[in-house]
Amino acid sequence: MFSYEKSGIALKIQWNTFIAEGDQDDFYVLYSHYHDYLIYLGNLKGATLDKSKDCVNDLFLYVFENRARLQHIRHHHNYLVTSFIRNLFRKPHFCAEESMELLELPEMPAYPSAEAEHIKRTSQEELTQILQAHINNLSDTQIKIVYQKFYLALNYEQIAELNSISVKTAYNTIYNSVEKLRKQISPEYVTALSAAISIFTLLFFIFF
Amino acid sequence: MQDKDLVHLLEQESFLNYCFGRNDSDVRYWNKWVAEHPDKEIQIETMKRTVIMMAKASRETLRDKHFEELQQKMSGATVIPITKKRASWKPIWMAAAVVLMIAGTALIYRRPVKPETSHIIAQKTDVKPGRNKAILILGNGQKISLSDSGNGRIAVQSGAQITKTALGQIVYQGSNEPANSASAPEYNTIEAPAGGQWQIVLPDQSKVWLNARSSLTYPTCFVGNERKVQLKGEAYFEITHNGKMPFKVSSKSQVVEVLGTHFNIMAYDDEQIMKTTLLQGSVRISDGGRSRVLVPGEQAQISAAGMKVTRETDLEDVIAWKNGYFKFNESLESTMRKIARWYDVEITYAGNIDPSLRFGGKISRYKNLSSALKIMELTGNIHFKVKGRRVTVMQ
Repeated sequence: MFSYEKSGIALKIQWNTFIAEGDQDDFYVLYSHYHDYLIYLGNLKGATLDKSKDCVNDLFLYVFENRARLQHIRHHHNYLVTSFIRNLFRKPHFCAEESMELLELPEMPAYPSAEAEHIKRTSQEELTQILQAHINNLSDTQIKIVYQKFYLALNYEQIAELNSISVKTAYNTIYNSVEKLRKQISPEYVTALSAAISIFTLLFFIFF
Repeated sequence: MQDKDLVHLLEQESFLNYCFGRNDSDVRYWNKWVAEHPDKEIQIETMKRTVIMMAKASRETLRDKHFEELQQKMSGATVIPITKKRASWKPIWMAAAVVLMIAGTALIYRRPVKPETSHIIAQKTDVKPGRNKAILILGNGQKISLSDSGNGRIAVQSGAQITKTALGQIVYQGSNEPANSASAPEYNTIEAPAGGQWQIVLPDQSKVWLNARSSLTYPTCFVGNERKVQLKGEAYFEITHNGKMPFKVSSKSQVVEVLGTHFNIMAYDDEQIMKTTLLQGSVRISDGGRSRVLVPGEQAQISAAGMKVTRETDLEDVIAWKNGYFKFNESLESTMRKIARWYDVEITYAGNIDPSLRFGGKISRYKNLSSALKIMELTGNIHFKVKGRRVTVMQ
């Protein structure tokens, strides 16, 4: 139903607005979308999260500085993805070439289901704020690994290799991070949750 | 749940796949497991929600952290201006103005700032897009506001039970045959106002999506040898197959007869042409004395001038509204009529508008009015002024 690639292509309007006018909101929307996909691709190709991040930022910096030159780009999605990959293992000298054919690129498997989306949308403000606040208590490494495991859906072996740790350490990092946050959920929430679950799962199974 | 068990859960890819709904077999497996271990249900559900929220939180934290790093680089950046070799359709003054603006904003760059380049008056209360909103009018005249109703059963009519679901649909359940077949069935009407839309599941499980400023009148149960409904405005239909009871939609003088199929009818009072587009299946469309059977991909256009059948090049365009976006490929007035219905605003035209002006493009229906109009202004051919719920169009 939802494809990362298709939705990226649907950002054509934001790309065009940004190229024409330098609209900062649209720039952020583009960054927000491609940040995850490009880091995912970078990770798949063996680049660490930090290296991928640097490459993403360099790419967007280039786009920002050179948007006057990029007016002729018809397929922004191809352009961004192929530029990113080409420059991942080279000194980043981006060039405003016309886009190449889109390679057979993998889809991010992490895309949340309708139910997960529903949970995200309807989760109580309280819980969201608690988690957001406590996520910041995790170390940088922990946040990165949580992101790679839960959002990018990399497996433990991939995470171990990318972060130069053992698989056991990867397990422990995830476990410690989840435990830290799980303890923050107050008992009252759990009670309310049990009531909500029965109604929600009932409806979910009837209508999905 | 023991900590040891918890660790093992997180180590299993299949469990995480279940939490995120990544594949059907893992989801089924773990749903079954939870059903078999009801005492563990709360812990599992808590774990699942925690993990989903952690995915979201970690993503947002990292993305924003990385974006901030990028912003710092950008504030020191120089924007390279257009060289002599530029695309000939861009005038120099526009390029220079844009470059100056970027250089200016780069210097004071902190957070994403919306530049004031539009004539649209930024209001404190921007016009919000339409949403799921409709009124159900029962046979006895009673009106029920669907958006204000809670979920669950909202009425009972002639043996049919009307329920509102969490997804915002209206579902008719109960026998398709009335207890007393001698009595005429009651008729209900669902009316979506300007700025509204609704989905209904009819007594025969057919699905109808109503667009803004549209209404559908239908019986609470289908009897006899045909299923007959009346449409004003626009709706998309997915009709269940029933060879013994063809489904008929009438709009003004036009009748569309269906056996089982997917089609869109656009028949607003303020549009001169009624358009019926067939996506799947087969329909017969009649108007006055004329009648024609359509095949998928065809569109029948009925107006005072008669009936014309064309091959619709892009079916996605016709039902774009149902999928949450506007697809424009038409005159300015037609474009603005669509905007007026969805945002519930009034359109006025200042001065003469070039009648040959055509608009093409795609805009999400869920943007605020000012965002949508701003996108249209990018074409350079049009300007808007918005005051309250009145939009003035100028060239």
